[in-house]
Amino acid sequence: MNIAQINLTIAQMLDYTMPILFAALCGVLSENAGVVNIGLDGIMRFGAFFGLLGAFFSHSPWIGLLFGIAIGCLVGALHAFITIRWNGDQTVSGVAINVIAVGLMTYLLEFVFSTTGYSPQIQNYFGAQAYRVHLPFLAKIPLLGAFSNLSFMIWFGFICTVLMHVLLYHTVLGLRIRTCGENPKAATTLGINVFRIRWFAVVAGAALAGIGGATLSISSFSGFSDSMPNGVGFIGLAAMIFGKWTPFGALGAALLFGTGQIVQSIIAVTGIAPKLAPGLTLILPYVLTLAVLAGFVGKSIAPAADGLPYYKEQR
Amino acid sequence: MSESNFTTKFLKLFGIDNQGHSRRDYLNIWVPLISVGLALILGMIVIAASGRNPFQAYGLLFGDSGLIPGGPAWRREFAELLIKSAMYIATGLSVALAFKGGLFNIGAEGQFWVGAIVATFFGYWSPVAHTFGAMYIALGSFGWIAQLLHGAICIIMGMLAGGAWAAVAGYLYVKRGVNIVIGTIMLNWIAWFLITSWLVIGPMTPPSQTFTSGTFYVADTAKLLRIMMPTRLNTSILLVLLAAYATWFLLYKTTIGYEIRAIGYTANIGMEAPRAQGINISRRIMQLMFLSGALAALGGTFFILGMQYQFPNTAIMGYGWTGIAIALIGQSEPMGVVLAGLFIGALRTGATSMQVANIPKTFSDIIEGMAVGFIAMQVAVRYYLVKIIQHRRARRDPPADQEAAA
Repeated sequence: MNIAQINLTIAQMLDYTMPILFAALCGVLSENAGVVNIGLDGIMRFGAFFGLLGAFFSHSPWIGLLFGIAIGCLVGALHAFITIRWNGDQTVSGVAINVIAVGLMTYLLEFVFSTTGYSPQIQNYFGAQAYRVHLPFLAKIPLLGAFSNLSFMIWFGFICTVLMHVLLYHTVLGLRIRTCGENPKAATTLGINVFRIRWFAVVAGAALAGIGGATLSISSFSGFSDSMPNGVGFIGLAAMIFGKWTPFGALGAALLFGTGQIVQSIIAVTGIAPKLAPGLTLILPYVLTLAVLAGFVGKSIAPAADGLPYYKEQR
Repeated sequence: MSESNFTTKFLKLFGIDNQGHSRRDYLNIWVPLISVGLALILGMIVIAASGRNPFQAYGLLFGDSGLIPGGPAWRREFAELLIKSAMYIATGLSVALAFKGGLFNIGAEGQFWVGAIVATFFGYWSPVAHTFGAMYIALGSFGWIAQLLHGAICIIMGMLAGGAWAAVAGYLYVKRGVNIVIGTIMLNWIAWFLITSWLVIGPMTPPSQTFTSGTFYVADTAKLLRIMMPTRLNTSILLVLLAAYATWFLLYKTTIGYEIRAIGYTANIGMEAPRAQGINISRRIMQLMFLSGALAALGGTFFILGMQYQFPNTAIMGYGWTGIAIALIGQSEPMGVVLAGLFIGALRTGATSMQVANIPKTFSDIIEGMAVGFIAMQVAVRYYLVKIIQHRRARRDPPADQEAAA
């Protein structure tokens, strides 16, 4: 492989990484506030379809991104309404969102575009040359050359990671969010409105998952396919755990898992190990996550009140 | 109260005794019914909002669901309904049994696939298939014995494998503290990629075939017996009803079942009581996960031995997720799961003919998902239900002081 090929591979790997990263960041934000969001795969499906819808009718990926954010907030609000307003089971609510997403997106795909399986392809998407972020001064440098011509969404993913880190660990709001996830009772005694903080975390997190879905349909690819997001939300969940519920950890895990996704195509292109079954590389994220959770490789511990509904009067 | 009496009788029909519980318990049966009803109404709104006739659509949905006898295609539709329901009831029982022990087995999906792939293997693997093929010929008119035995071996092996797959999550939970939801989700995807990206396109594919063709087909002796010619209805529905009865018996008539329920009741408050009673909680939880996985795998074996006869190289997703919906609608009671499974099976059977009205067959997913959403909000459903009941009671027999005031 020459430099150009390596650069291409890195860029491709980043394309795979970003949807995983956005999903993982969604999980990081909402689980640090104490709300489990199994439904993020479904929210990504919503985001992927509505992102494409916006981009298709406005001929601008920016509108598509806004659509993705809006639908993410809306579905996140539903999750928050069920789990925070009515103390519903967080996993059950997530399952409901996933199942609705499967049915409703197929229904809407057929209704809006009268097609089954795939939406029409769009010209104006973030992966198109006109919308890429061009940094010509990097192009000549080995390895960094890969960053000279990337989709906007990839940079946005890095920016979101940094912003999330600052939010969680260097602001008052972040401290409050983490308190709600660790010990909501203590948060209440300090005068923090646990419900309001959790609402914010869930809705903002779901907006990120919506962005992640839109990244799939209007950045990594230029259309919506009925199999989206194809489990990316669950890889994101794994990345969140593997990254120990922190933004930079999630970034690292997403990069690792994104690489795992293209090992397959590297093998196919270079013919290094044609006998190696692709299934064996694709299970890597999940095996690693289980290993980390079980304490075989390091140890990953969830926030203490993660997944528990909060009752104000309960001791 | 009249509602209470009616519900008590209704529950007794299904062998459920709600005596000795609080009076509000009759809400348990109304919450899933109301949830499904609300989901169906919202489904109508979705259809109407997309400019189609909801009444025509629901006419097609229920008319062709196999629930209503009559019509030329009714026998076929009824058979389809039962075949589909058998698989959904199996995954539903799997999730419901785990719920009874306080565990959320979100991995019925993966256990379903593991059961399916193992059943496929024992269906075509030549040492087994040849033995039973020879036996079938040797037995002559008693050849069905060979069919029964081969089918039984495939099903038992599939169930053992699915159970073992789920028991991994149980082991990781009790010994290493891995959350059961996360553990089973991860195992789902491990199973999925091992099967679809390795087994189905590699070792289990006939060498002459392209890699899109799926695995070998199972031998004729491994296929489930058909019980209603000319439809393809097979013994799977009988087997799954047996499994439902066994689950009910295990839960309510055995010591293990009692211990499982004791763990389930106290799962959120530290399981002190069952521990004080000397129940080996870790062991019970691993056994429970094994049983739960075996039930989901049973559905997977039906899928192969009764419908597909091979593991196809296409996505066969959703059986486990639907199982979660069924367990929730059925309130984790075996009888409720059977009824909910038949209902979802009917919905899925009828949904295929909704395509005439330009409605994709995934419409039933929307209904299921919304029903699950309402069940997740059951606190709200109960709250408004109690309010409505109180309101009606207050109107029927107003309190004495109000009468005096009037």
